[in-house]
Amino acid sequence: MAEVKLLGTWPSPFSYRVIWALKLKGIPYEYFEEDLSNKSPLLLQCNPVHKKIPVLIHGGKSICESIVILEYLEETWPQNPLMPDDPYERALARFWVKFVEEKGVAVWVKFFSSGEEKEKAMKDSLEMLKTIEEHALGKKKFFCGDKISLVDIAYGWMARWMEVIEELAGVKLFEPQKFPRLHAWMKDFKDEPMIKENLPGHDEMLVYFKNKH
Amino acid sequence: MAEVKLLGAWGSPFSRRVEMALKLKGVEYEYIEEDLADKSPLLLKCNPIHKKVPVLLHNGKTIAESLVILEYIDETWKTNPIFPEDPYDKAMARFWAKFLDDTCMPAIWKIMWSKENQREKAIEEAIQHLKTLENELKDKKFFGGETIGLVDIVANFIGFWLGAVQEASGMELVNKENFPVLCRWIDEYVNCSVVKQNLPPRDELIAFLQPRFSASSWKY
Repeated sequence: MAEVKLLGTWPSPFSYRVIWALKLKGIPYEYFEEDLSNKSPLLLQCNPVHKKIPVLIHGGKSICESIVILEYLEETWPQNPLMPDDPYERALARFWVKFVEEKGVAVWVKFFSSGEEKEKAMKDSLEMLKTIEEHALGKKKFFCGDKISLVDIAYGWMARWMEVIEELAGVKLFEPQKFPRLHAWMKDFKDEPMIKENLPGHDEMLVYFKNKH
Repeated sequence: MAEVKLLGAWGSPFSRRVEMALKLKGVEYEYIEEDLADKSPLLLKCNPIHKKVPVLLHNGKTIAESLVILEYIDETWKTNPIFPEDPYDKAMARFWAKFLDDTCMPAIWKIMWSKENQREKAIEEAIQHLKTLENELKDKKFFGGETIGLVDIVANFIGFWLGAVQEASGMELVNKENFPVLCRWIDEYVNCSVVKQNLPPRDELIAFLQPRFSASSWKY
């Protein structure tokens, strides 16, 4: 029996965050695909508060919330570190993670709404992209330096989900020439072997989100 | 010149969290009160992205976002740890801190800003979350166990501000009858010395909050 289990769903960027971290650290795990329209007793037992995925189960104990899981993985399996050593660098990393938690996917999915809500979502998202472009990336390959970190993983949804949402919602906010650093980052992120091998298909995603919205 | 500075606001629970952590660890710091209606050049320079308090300055470097600051403080000053040492317990602390900030607090604020016909639903939601929180507390003295920890610090909004909000608005969400365990925690909490020293004066806070509830849309 695998010591580590992950409850997730294939279209979820939050689920993928944990998969990327597990793969990057070489942690063997057993994956369980959840049907969110028919949640398993295991999911309801392991995440009674939110009843959401992802949930990590390690040695019988369950941990919920993707970023909380990532920090737990980092502390429990220190190989291939995903966080800097220096407390200030770590604080910066956590700051940018929090930024995307507040301004990221949650805002982008509002593109599926209409009228004022959509307009506001588009305005907020554009501002978010500008902030990252101007303040977060700098000259580094990834958010914290030369190697992928927890921050890159947190922003990983931009590597596939952002384009799918924009395509379906008929919105074009992210233009490579307007956001060259971000564009370069997206390419570098997707080129990383562990990420490349672990991305949901573009077409499958289109079908899934189209049916959902 | 102080090595550690804190830009804060007297009435902000987020600001007070950081002060509590610094005091708990015996870290000397210079406190700078910000007027949020007229933000200082220093604040705008140190937190250009959010332009909010609290901001911690340490050796010339700036850190924003109260939870990020709390993690930084715990990693930098090792006396009286705020976070548990065990990775699983730490994960649980982070989970509950997130629950407080992302689920509990917004639900409470939602009541205040909701239209009259949506208010009952908003109240139900907030009560559900507070029950979840109370369930986590069970028979522990504090969320952190025998002594206050991260979750207790982050729950300062529930521990103190909620009471002031209730008095300012005339709405009672939490009382000894419906939340006996939470109220017991609140009593322990506000009497805890490090907490007591880091609370705004109650009357001033109520006076500050009252005008927000006397707007015509609020009737309770």
